[in-house]
Amino acid sequence: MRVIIAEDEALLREGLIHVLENDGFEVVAAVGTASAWEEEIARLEPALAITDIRMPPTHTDEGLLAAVRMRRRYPEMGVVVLSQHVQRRYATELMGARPGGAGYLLKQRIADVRTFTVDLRRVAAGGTALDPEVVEVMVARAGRLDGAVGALTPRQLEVLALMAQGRSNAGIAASLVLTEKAVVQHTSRIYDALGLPLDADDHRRVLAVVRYLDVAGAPARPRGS
Amino acid sequence: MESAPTNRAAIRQTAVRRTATGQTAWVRRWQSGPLDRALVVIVVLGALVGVIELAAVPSHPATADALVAFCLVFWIWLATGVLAWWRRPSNGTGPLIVWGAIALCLGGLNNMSWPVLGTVSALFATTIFAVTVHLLHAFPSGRVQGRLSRGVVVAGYIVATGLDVVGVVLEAIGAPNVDALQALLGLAVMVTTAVVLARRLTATDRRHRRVLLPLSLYGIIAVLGVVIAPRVLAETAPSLIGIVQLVLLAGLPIAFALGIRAGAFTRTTALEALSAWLAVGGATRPAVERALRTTLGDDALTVVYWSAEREVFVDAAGATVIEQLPGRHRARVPVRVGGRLVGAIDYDSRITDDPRIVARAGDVLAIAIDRERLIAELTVSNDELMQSRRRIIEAAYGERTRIARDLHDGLQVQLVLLAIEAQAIAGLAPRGANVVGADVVAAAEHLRSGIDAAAAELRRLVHNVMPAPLRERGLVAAVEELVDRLEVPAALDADIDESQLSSATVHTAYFVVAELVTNAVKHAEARSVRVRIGRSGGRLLLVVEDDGVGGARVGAGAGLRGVEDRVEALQGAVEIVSPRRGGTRVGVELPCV
Repeated sequence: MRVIIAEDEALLREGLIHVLENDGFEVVAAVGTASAWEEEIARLEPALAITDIRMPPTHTDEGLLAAVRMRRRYPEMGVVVLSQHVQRRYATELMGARPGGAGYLLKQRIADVRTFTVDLRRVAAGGTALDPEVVEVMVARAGRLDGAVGALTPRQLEVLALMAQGRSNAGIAASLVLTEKAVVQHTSRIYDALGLPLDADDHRRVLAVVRYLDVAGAPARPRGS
Repeated sequence: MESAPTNRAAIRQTAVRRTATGQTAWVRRWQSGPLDRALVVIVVLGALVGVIELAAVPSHPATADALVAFCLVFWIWLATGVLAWWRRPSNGTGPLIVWGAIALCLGGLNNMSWPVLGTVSALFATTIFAVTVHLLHAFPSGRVQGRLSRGVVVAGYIVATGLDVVGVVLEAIGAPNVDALQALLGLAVMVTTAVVLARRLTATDRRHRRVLLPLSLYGIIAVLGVVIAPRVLAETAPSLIGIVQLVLLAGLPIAFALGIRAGAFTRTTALEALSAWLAVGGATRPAVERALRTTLGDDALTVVYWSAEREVFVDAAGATVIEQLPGRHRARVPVRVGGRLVGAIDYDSRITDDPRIVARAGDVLAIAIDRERLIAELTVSNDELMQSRRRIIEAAYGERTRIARDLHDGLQVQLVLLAIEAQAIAGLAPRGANVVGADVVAAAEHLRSGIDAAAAELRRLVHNVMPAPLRERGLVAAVEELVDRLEVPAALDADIDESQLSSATVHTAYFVVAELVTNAVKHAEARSVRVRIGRSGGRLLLVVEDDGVGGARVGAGAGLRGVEDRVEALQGAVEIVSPRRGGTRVGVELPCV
């Protein structure tokens, strides 16, 4: 799978290339700025593009802004944003209105190579990968502000968090040591509790859950569909 | 009959006592000054002389009209002169007009058939014209300025009174009179005066033109009219000459009064009033300047203070006064205390032409000016202190940013790389080949998760030092993140344009809100928190409210003291409302820049 990387820290860039190539990815370009990343994407049209958020010249959020642009321009391409720190606002900005093909992970996740590469492949295939930490913040916040989320059982909250991370029913079943059937039961109860419409499409399911969590506590705005 | 004046005195005393500012007190004290009494005497004498003249009317039917006319014009001049004298004791105009009134009175005495009076009157027959010329040249400062003007005024007195005396002597010895010569020279003086006045009017600025216009314009008409009237009327109506001249003269004080209304002669006070004002005490900064402006009748007057350290003049705020080139009408008089320069008075030399008057006023106020100089110095050092506090706090934020960046670029990256290495070791060991291999895999993965835990700890630390969203997105994004992670339900209302906020304000606002919400959760046992961020003009407003136990106060812990310190360093304000069991509401106001 052809991948382009943007990371301004040279050592980390090399480490990332090493991890990816060891796992069978083909790193076709590795650059140090967001603008170079965008140019390489336009030139090489990879299946997956990975970028750091904070990069030259301003060292603020140029990586995220570039990722949002690239996602809009190349809907078929998977885009993964890496950062030292995760927050709700960036997650929802990256996801936007289009389901799938997006990932937002802490840099520290790179080291857990197996999980990391699985997440990358899922994003490249049109799925979603939200970092467990940002999902945890979102679920906890929604639990405090939203009665429906607050009323879920601990097990249901676990399932909800894994859904928000972008895991499939099979993935959720594996990590919670449940049968897939049990996971389906949990998800449908969660859907009922939150008033979300049932959707067979996994990608749209993630988007709906994330948008629901994002707007929790803001009753004036319509909830995600 | 006895009680009325006593009552009035009592009322007056109360009024003096009741004044808090002291201003009314010194004005009142001044009212019973010696000048006041002298002016009253002048008015009474003038009224008496006029009444005597009017009393002579029945016995002088031939000159009755002239007597009445002279008396009225005399009164008009006298009243205007006394008024001007009272309003501006230090200005020569008032006495000059009173002198004109006396000259008029003496000049008109020949209308009474008393021989001695006739001679005296002849000596002063045309003096009023010289006084008129003098008055016109001296207005509004009361002193004649410029060589030409001085020459014209002196010439006026010589032509008028000088030639009158010569005429009286010549008449006594039976020689021919000098009336023709006097008329010719008088014409020259009057025409020159008209030209000088016209030139002054055109050369001056708008504000002064407004002041000068009534008297100068009328003066031009009057001096020309006075000399033209005899020539025009000599053939047709010689009896009208005197009347026309008197009417023209009567108009002068009226034009002068109009000039007063235009601001040339605002009420001023004598120097002794300044001394009295000093005794009142409690004078604040603008007071000395205000007192001097009132005393000298100069609205543009300013007081500057000498900074010995910087060797420049400074204003009340301690800012260096840019040395203005001595404009044509700006003058400066230094003020000293015991020979030591403490300040200076900048004034308009058109309004007060005698520097000695300003210097005397400065002497009286020297101590007060010195005190104001010290206040200005304190203001400066206080400003410097505030600026230094701000710099310290900005430096602290700069340090935090640097530490966070160093950790982010250095340690965090290294921890990721170390974790990758640990994972790589786990990958190298042949899985399940033997017990040692399995142990290595387990140990390497354990190491990797240990490094991940350390990285998570470091992330929290970096976030506390300087949160990433604050640097990347600004205040609202950072506070939103703070609120997201709070352990209790929290609401954030923020709708502001952050583009104009200084970085010191943004950082202070963030750390203040962070401290306050932490207090709410940890100490106030709040069940919910509400944060509001707004703007009002140039101020950033923060409100953090909770429904906790209340009773919060500064000094109870380091938290609120730290908040106050941060806010005060930027010259902001903190308001804490925290009744027991009533929740806590902290409002903070910060300058946007």
